[in-house]
Amino acid sequence: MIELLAKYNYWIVIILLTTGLYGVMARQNLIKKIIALNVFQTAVLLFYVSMSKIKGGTAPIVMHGQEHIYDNPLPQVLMLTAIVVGISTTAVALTIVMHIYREYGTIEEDRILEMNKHND
Amino acid sequence: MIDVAIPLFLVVCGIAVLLMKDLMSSIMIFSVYSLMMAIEWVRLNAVDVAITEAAVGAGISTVLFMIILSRTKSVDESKKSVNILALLVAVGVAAILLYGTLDLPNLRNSNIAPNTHITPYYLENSYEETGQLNVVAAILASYRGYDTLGETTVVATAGLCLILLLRGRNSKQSTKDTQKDRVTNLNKLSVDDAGVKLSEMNPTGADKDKDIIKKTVTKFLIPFIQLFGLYVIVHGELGPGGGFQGGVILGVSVIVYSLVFGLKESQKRMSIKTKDLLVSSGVLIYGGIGVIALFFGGNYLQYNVLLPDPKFASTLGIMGIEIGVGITVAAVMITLFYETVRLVDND
Repeated sequence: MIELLAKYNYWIVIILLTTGLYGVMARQNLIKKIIALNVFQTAVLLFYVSMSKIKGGTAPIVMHGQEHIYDNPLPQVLMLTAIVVGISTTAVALTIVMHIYREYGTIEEDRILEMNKHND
Repeated sequence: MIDVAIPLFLVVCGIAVLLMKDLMSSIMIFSVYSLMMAIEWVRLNAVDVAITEAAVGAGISTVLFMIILSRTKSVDESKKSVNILALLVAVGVAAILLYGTLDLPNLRNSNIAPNTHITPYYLENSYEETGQLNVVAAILASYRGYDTLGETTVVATAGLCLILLLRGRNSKQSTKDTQKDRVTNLNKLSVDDAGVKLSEMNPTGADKDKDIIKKTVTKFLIPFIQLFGLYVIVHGELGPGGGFQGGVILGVSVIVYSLVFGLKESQKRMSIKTKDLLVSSGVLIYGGIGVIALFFGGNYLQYNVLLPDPKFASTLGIMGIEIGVGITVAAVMITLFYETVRLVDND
């Protein structure tokens, strides 16, 4: 059982990653695409943080006087900032989607491409 | 067992998000997904990440998506056909990655490369060198201080992008005669769409009595939310917390206030000009502490030269930059909300 679970989080990461990837490629709706990108992003975060967990470890906050195993703080630092940067860039993307809607009246990618063809 | 169940639930949510026809349900499921993700972070002992994810993923990003949704169409109108090519590519990528996991080390193992390289040094020396018990805060603010400065700047830049994208629009629109008809038609449409939902989200004075409970509860809660935000910022050296997490929580408090009381009321408390100033002043505090360290004869962002006692100096320096990060992050989170909501008021 433990041998089987040793790579469990990798599989979850891969499924989430490909779900997000498929969503970005196949969904025509731009907001859906952005949500899919967010799913993709959290999959990457999960990959990093899964690496940092050590069996029997505790959160990396030093407690003096006792011997403890601590989890790896480095991936946590990197992912912590990535989340905040992620929401900021998502906001910029959503704003651009809003502009697209104002110009074209739709947020479906295929219709936007069609309209562009007619305008040329 | 719960370590098996939560990731499975994540996968179910992740797939359901993409399958939903109604974008609103899609966003709600994504919010649940983020909340489960936060629980998973706690299971993995990444407490700092969990605080951020809960505030950002389940809080701000949901509000943001909903605002944008109220300005655009809320139904995914694309045909529900399966895109064979995309599916093939996705399955191919999955297969390659699965093959790759054969070479990856088993998880929860202290001997694997990511956990042996530099981490033992951080864990052993962070308290002596930086005075921080929370190693995450020590790495964030001290060992990788340049990195964090860059990331804070990225967040501030995203805020500026939003301001440029959304505020510049009104002056431009009057000169855009060629597409005027189309644009005005579209604007009408979007206002009609948005009007209904916005009145629910942003109640004006007309229906004051209807949401007296909401207002009273919010008035009662906001001081506590803000106090908690400040606590998280300042307490980062001893426990989970820091500038990013606390800043997000502070930002949320203002967003909640304007959701309940309306944008006008909230801008009396936190005007757009103040908020704009705060976006850049946070980065200025961060960069400024670095420059002060230069004047004391140290390197850029070397805190321990600031005072005779190096450990205390470094604690102070780190608290200073955490406050700087907190100010910028909070102001940018408020910017995300103000700028996207303001659009309809202008139309």
